[in-house]
Amino acid sequence: MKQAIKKQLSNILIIVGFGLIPAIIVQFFVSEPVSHEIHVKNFRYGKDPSVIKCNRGDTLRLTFSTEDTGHSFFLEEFDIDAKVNPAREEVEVFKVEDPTQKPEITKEVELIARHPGILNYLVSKSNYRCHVWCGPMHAFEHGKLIILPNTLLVFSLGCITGIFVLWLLGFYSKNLIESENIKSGYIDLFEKSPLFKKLVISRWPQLILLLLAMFMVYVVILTTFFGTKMSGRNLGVLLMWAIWLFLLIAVLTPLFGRIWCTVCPLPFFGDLLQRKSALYPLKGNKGEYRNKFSGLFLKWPKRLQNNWPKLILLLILTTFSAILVALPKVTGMAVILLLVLPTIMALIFEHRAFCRYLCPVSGFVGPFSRTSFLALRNKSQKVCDKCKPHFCQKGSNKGWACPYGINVGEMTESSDCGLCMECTRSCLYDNVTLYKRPFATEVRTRNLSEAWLTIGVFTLAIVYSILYQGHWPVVRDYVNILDKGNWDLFAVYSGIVWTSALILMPGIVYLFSVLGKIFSKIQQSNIEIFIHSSGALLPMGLFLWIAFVIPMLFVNLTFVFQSFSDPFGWGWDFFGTASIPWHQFVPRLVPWIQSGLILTGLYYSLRNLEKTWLNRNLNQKKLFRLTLPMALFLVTSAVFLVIFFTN
Amino acid sequence: MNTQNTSPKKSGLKTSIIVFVILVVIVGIPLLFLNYQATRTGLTVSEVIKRVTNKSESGSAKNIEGENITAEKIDFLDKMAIGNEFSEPPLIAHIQPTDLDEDGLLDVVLCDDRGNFVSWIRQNPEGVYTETILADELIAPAHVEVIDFDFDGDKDIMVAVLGMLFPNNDKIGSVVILENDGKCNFIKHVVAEKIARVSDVRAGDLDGDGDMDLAVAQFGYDDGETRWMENLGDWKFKSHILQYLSGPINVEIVDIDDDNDLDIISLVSQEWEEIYCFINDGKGQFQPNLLFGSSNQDYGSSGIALSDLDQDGDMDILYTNGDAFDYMPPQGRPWHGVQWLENQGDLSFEYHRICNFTGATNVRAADIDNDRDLDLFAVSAFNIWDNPESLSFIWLENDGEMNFIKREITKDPTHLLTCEPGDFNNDGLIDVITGGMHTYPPFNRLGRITLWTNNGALSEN
Repeated sequence: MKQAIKKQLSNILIIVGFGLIPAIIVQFFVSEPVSHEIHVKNFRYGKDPSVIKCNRGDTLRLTFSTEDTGHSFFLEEFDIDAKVNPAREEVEVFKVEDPTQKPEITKEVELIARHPGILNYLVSKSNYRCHVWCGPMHAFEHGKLIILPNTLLVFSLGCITGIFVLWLLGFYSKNLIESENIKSGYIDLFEKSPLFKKLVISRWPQLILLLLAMFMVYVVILTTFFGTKMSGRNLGVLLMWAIWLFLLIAVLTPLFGRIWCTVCPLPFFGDLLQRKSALYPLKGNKGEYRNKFSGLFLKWPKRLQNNWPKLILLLILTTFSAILVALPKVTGMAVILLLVLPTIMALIFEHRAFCRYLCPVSGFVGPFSRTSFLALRNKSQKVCDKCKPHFCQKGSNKGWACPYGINVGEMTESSDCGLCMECTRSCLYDNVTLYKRPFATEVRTRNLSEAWLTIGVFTLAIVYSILYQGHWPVVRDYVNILDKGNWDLFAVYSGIVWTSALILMPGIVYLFSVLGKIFSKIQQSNIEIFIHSSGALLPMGLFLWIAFVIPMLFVNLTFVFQSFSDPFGWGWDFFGTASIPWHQFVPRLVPWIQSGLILTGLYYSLRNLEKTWLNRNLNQKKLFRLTLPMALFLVTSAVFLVIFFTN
Repeated sequence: MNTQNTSPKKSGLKTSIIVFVILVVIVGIPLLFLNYQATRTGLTVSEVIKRVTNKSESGSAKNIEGENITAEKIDFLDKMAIGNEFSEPPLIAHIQPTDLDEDGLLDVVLCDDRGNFVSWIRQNPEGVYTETILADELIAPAHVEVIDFDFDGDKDIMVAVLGMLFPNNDKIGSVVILENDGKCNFIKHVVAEKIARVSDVRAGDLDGDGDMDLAVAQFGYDDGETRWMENLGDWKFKSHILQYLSGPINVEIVDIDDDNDLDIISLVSQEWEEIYCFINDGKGQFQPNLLFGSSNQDYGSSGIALSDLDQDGDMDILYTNGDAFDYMPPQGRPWHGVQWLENQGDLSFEYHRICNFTGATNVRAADIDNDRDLDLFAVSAFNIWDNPESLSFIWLENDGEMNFIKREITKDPTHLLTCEPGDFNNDGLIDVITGGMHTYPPFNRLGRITLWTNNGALSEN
């Protein structure tokens, strides 16, 4: 263990070293400060120029105009909020730190591209945003100021080189046989803490958390339907798309896998109707199961027992994401649909058919749960092998049959398991437990639909990032059916998203997989190599998603506080925060966090790409040739993403 | 192997308890919220429910009410630009005709949001107008009221200052009183600042202590409010919040319930589109009453004014809806128009739609044709200006039976935000002044302050 930590530390030092050297060198190539005169045009929903590049210490003389309504040029890091009015050259420049201070009225705003202290060398990217509500997509109106030399970009690119070099060096020192024990590094949490075991097995803590989650969903419904229609101030919208999404993507999934499913309120009413009990199983049988169930309890169609329906629903949600975020009632309707659908399905199909085959949330958390620290598995395979009744899968008098249809004895992946904890209760041999395990240790992708889903969620992270954090206003025009009614562009956008997720990106991964096969001359089929290669996208996909949601929360944190204090926008002020001025949370730090996440994702993706093929009788040369094309694809993706987030 | 089971009876009871708790929460939470809101607003729970649930999405054809009875144009107003010349599209937020220097000739006090000042267009001698800035560095002044605030025999000016013309949630609004020294030199008193954007301020003795207090509408953005400010003397005030709703545009002070104290009427736009009355108990304690609420949350409420339109001895409410700042481009909607709320006593008001008028922003009453009933003037700042036939200024002729005939006054200048009647040349005929707020294109028919002098053609007809 200590050895592993030492190795990780030395790897980090090497990678940082690769980043630091160019980052220091580049400091000696700073141009003499000059002055720039820049006119910034504001419009719904963008700025022109959308990128301002200058050298450290340069003086920027900014003038402004608007092509439609009122806008502002809000640059928090430089304490500037210039309000731009139509048909007027003068702007009112407010202080971001204290917006109540009397504004300066001027035709030209002067700023010196310099940050205080050490930050002057570290901060290169700042986003300028709009702080005057100018329409339903106002929140996405922004551009960026890049101060050269871009230390973060150079550092990150150096780190990518370091990660790639480390990966290459690995082939010369790698033992190509990994331990056969799939639970290597797993720590049994039940054994370690009997109290934790008690809490998990008892139904009450889970039920209480579930009811709290249900309360949150109820508040979302109430506030989205009856609260303010300004999405940036609607608690329901913020709860869903800023807080919940952040917690799900950045905290719950990487740490605990599908832990959200443990407390998800969506299947609650369906379970209640099907089981006629909120807690303990009722005596009786239903078909092959040792519990009493109501409803038609039909089997889900075999053809649809895969990940395709989830991927399709996820794509539908993505297609309409801008509307979901901008119109609170649409969010409310989506939540109601997500409550009603599983309930109806529970009356028709057996167990949690919705969660297993349709839920777009599980479409996201399912694949990424394979990287998480938490896993549910059996304690002893021998006990499972001897167990013929399969209490975990078929139920017992102590617990319900697995709503996900899993036999724990055969379980080696976490993606299908909704962590409902039922098997910890139903197993009469007390042979199910929770493990803490190293990060990103599951590497197997089982089938085509799983591979496609993995590639799909990776693609969607890129789409979302470009759509909401890209500085290209034209991209936002493509999704703007709200006030611009660009249905033609929207059709093009939908076509691009669907084609990218279903054809283009899988095609690219397939191409690199085939190239690997050609270079390595191994015997596996193209499809098999494609399926295995796709799994390497998981860590980078997860970290890309986290990089996407971080600014979603950090930029909107003030609005979260405001909305909690006044959930309906009815003029309440429960916590005295209803009208606090808008500030972003650590805006200077965000590009560093995003870059760090992409680098971490690349590191684990390259590692897993290689790990996937260990124990398969491949020599170093073949392994290197097989994985090199996909590795280059991952590195290229990381380079583009780092440039996107830092420059 | 552990096979011990839980009794089905116990399990059933626990399930029932859980289901009951869920039902209680589902029903109880909204009830708590509604009750809280009712307590805060002074409405009944059923009024709150009606108010919350009776809002439709943005307007559609079904929201268009009333029919226009139109008639041909009569040229009875001669147009003349007064005040300073301009080179950029003017942004006039409000005008008030008043004889500020008390020389017997009507002048104009105005809010100029391009120059961020309050100025005075003095008429002296008759027919000659000269503009002087009274107070500058007032960012986006929205409304002026001229009144002898300190009872010293000269006219002071109450100024509502937004802090920024366009939507902004920051606390940048202020209330300013320009104190007249008797020689029309004005001393600026900032009596409230760092508050949500202030859109209107009116003076009146609200607590019955003999001095002037203030009623203040703070549009804000998401966090607007309505307050009254108790005059403590020496230009010091104590604020009392009346309501925390965003979007108040206008406040009016009037004894609406005829109990010898002053009440406050407010128009709250944004997503509320409601008119409230705050009934005074005579000591500055106010009880809110909802007088009118549109079910269309995009109704676009733009202004109210008080007038005894039906001349039955009580004040009715003239009301325009035509605000279109939210739209892209900011152009009016077909459900915009002019209406009045007929005061039927006991705080009961009956809604009457008068006409459709896209982008309507202001309506005022005056007997323009000298037939002893009150006619109406209305202006539009948000009509479809790309269409050269769009009207910016109309009058509504009262046929004596409270039926109104819509007649064109002009299409040029466009973007008229504000209008006020007054006899500027002392000829006994009502003239009108208008102010232009040119916030968006086209900028081909500009006007800042326009005086429309009545040539008598209407009376001759």
